[in-house]
Amino acid sequence: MQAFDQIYLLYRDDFVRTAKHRFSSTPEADILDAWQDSLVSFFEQISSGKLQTLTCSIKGFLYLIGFRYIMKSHHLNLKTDHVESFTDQQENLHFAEEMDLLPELNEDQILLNARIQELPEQGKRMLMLRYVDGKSIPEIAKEMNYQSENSVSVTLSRTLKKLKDLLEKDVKR
Amino acid sequence: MLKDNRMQEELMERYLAGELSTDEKASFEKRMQDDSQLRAEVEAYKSILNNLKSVRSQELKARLIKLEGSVPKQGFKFGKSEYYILFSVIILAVSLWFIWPRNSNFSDSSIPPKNMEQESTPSIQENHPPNAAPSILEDTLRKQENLKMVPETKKAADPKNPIAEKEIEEETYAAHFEPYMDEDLSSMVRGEGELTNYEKFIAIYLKKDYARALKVYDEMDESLRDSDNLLFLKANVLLGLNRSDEAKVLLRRIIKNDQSRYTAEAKKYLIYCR
Repeated sequence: MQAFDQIYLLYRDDFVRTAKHRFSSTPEADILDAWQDSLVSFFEQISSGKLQTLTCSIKGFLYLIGFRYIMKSHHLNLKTDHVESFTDQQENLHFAEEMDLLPELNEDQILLNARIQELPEQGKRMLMLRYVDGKSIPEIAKEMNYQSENSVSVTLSRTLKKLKDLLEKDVKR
Repeated sequence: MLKDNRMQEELMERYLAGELSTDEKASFEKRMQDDSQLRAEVEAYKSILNNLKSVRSQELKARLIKLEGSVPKQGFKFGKSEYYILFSVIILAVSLWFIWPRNSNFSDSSIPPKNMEQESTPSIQENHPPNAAPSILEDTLRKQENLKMVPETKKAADPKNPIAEKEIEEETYAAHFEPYMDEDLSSMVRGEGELTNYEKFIAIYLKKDYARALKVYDEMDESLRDSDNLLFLKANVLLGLNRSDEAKVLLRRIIKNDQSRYTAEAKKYLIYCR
């Protein structure tokens, strides 16, 4: 994750400057928000396997996604001059133009995030490996250094149940 | 009954993960049709899992927001217009210097200054080191370096007074140390019949009887004792016995090997090692 942080910091100032130039009425806070969303989307695309090779620079790719987030939040249309500096990167340009942006979070998702942070670290990590990364029980046991697959299975079921109970309590409130 | 419940939970878990065979899936869905409670439960789980992907995005975003907080805010920067203003002011000042009457009292060198003493008093200068603002990357990397974390009270201790420093450290230690516990550990000692040394160790560890726990640990099979997972618990036992130097060695070994599921926790517990 350090590489992730370093990419964020490496291009941050330049992205803010470029975006201010291209979208002069956009506040800096919105530009930074778009830059963060761009990084998160990039990470998601890689971890889901949708983005496997990058023929252009990371910078160009991230900037284009970042610009899309700014345009989305300000209801702007894509203009030629927003992308003209990336025309030598057609293949990834197309991918970055077409890929799904992160949707707005709904209340359930925000609540789930809050409750999941209350779970023990092991269980939380296991849930993500199992249901987000789609790993099998033996793979999780190996990755998390568990000697027994049964123990993984039990922890998973228990964590899931605990999460459901926490969320049900919220609903009752 | 317990076994049935357990099997039911595992079946549901595999169903939710999409790992049931065609026959198993058909059979499970048939049961759901007949059992409204089971159906409702599965739907509740499905709703949670559908939203689970967003948790990772939210965590990443939170990480970046936190990182953004560590970026030093840029101060005033000279743009083109500011350079023009500065240039104009310099020109004006130089012009005034030439135009100003040289024989006015104001500049008469024959009149001594009213307060020589005051003038000769050295001005107080802020003594910033040349690189007082650390580079962004250094700053970020340092923040990620959990191993170097020191409790706030420790930083405040007077270096000239080692006794006071030690007292503060001990207070911090006593106030904050709690041995590592989680549900997995509790579940390890729920078996029936005679307990193995491993189970005994966990049970005694959970009771925080550190001296006995260490004794039982030493009686365990050597292959078990060398596991980094178990060494992490031993490190906790040693911390509980105030033998932090020994604990430190174990925790560092766990972090270096990076094979234990407690590696992240080991970094946190290094804080307790004085």
